[in-house]
Amino acid sequence: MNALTVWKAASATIDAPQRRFMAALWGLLTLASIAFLQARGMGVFVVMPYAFGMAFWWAFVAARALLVQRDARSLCIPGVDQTIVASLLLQYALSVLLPAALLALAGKADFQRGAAFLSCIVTLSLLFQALPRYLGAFLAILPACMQILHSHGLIPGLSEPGFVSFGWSFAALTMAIVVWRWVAALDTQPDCASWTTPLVLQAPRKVGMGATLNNWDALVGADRNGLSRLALLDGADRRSAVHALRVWLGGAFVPVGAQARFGQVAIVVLPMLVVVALSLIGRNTASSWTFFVVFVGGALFPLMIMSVAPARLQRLHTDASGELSLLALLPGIDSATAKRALLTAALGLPIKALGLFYAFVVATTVMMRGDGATLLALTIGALAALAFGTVLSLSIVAARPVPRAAMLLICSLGLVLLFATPIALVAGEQGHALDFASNGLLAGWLTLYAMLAWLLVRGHGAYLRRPHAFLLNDR
Amino acid sequence: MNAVSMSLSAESVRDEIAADAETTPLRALGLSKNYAGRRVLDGVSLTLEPGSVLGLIGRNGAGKSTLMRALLGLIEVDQGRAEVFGEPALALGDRFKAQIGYVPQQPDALAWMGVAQMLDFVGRFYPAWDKAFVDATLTRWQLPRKTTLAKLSPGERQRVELIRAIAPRPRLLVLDEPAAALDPVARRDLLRELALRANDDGTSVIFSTHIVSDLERVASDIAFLHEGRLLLQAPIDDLKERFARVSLPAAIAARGALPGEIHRRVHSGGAAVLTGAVSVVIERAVGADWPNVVHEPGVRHDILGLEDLFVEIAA
Repeated sequence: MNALTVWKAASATIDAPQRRFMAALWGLLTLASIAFLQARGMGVFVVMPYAFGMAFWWAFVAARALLVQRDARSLCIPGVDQTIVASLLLQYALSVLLPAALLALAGKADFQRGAAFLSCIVTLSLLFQALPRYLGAFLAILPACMQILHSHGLIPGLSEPGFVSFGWSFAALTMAIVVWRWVAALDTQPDCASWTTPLVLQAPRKVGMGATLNNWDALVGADRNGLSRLALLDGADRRSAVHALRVWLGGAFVPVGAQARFGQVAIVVLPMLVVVALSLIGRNTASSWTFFVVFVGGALFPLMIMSVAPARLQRLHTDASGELSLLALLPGIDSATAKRALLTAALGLPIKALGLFYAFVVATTVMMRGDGATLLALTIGALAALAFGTVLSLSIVAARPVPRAAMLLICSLGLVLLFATPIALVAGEQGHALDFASNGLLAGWLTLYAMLAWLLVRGHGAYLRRPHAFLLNDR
Repeated sequence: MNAVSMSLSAESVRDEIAADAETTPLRALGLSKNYAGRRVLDGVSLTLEPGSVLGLIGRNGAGKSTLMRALLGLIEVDQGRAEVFGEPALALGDRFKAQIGYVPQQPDALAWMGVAQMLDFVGRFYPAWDKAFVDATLTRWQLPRKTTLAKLSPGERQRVELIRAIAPRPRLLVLDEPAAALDPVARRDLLRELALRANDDGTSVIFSTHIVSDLERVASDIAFLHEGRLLLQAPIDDLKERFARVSLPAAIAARGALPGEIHRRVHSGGAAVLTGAVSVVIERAVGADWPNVVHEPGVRHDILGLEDLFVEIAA
């Protein structure tokens, strides 16, 4: 086993399409950084798109070296620990030191600054996977928290003199936590997952990034540990198809009591509350708030919430030994009812969660003096996430996958809009002549909506034509 | 008057056909299925007679699980038709669904539930759910009631799934390698239960297996599936002493096919390679004698048991 083998093995623990998507995403964002090298006045900030792509790589591919290390240890493969370290150091050199050197050569930032910043991204990405499920959600809002702390003068900004020492210290501290968690995880038995188990050990093999982002069951504690005690099964029978199907879907879909559900919802809402609390203390942080609320509240979290449904349906329709075969032969729910009930059961909960989350974000935005444009951006983002989740769900239950070209276009356009919309809003707040129409954002959103509408109609038609709702997707 | 009687007669014939179809638990007509360009089922036609126990045998990847899924309408096939109690498998009504018990290979459904909790939940959907049987069998097989399914051993899990499949008092049981994870004692229990269901309740059973002794113990019929094709379906008694492996010297082998020859291969090892000897599997009709060639000098013939027959055909 050598460093390259470790890299290949870690990559092989996630699906090939996701691997390709991540490589394409990182490539695209790297190109954006290279393009920004020509821009004046951006300084070290040109590295931001590249850093975003790199974070995905370290969190969803490199961190899975832990799985390889555990497997290799269980197979008594010699020298594995040193090889894993060598592999990670090699990836660190190529993804951090090399770009930092290029950044210095381009005169955008000194080597130390670039390397310190990218090292922070690497350690935070590893920490996301090394922490237990419920802490991972808080890391997603860390950049926004940092921005807010910076606006309060509590930590130095990226381009400020004190950042280099702060960055290295921060990276060292987070790396120490990663090492501590990593070593502890090596000794965790697979069947003894507890509330301290790292997220990376809870994501099923071969589904990688999707499972980690969508591993709502693990994130909200609705996995196999303890759910049988919390589940409310009264009334889940042939008279209530939706209720029954939620039980069959399992995980976060299972009806539970108010207390358990509150615990699940809190995982989503608490991080937002932290940001709101930080924002309300001290100076006006309108710009950072706007960026955060539109980027995270209007797009990232809604996408995460809505992706729960297609993730579960995908497992349901591809697991030949799972619930699907029993559902297909289950008496008491006729075919037409089953088709409606399956969609309602799968999409109902995420839509309700999205509605609650949207109401919470809108309320806090209004409280934070958010203007009409911000609210509009939030609404457009949430609706797009809703439509995207529904399109993916229909494509699975109808066994009619979204065409590759359409998926590529939607992901690319969505990614551009994800960044461009909050940037345009912040720029507009700061007096720049940027708004939806003048930047082509409106056209972009309309194109995205048109494609999603077409895919909705296409998927729904194919679903209705299927003989029954519980056919295995085996092609 | 004539028209009325003809109409009545036609109706009664239709009813008879329908009744007959309903009594045929499973029927496959020319099922074909491709996965990623590979033919997994190739024109499989098969019938499961009422009250019979059909053992489906084949090597790994022969298409047994795919055939079972296709028979029950869990997957769409590229060609052919599957019927359950005379209804298209892809459009089964509640009446027939309630009469089917199915256990997939390595079952993983509702793994977060406790054993008794899962059985109680599933039982709500079946009008004839036999709760007494569930309780008695859980006790008899010493299965824990409160443990979550995910924490059971594969053998325990398989036994819980068997209880789940049998508790609705089905007229049709479809079991995909039900004995794979069971120890010998549990396997005997399972086979006894299957035989009991078939003999006493008239339940029709189709099960796949690699274990030929299980087939001989419980199956009334046998079907060989090889590379997606059904090579043979027959009552198990008809197969006894009907197949033989005949080793032929090169000179006799060169005369051409033997009467009832179904498979021929040139020896691939030992001295037989040098002499060009050939091994032939032949079949004789029920009650018929072996062909005269088996009595010629230099010819050796061995009557094949089920396992040998399986190895000869599938190897």
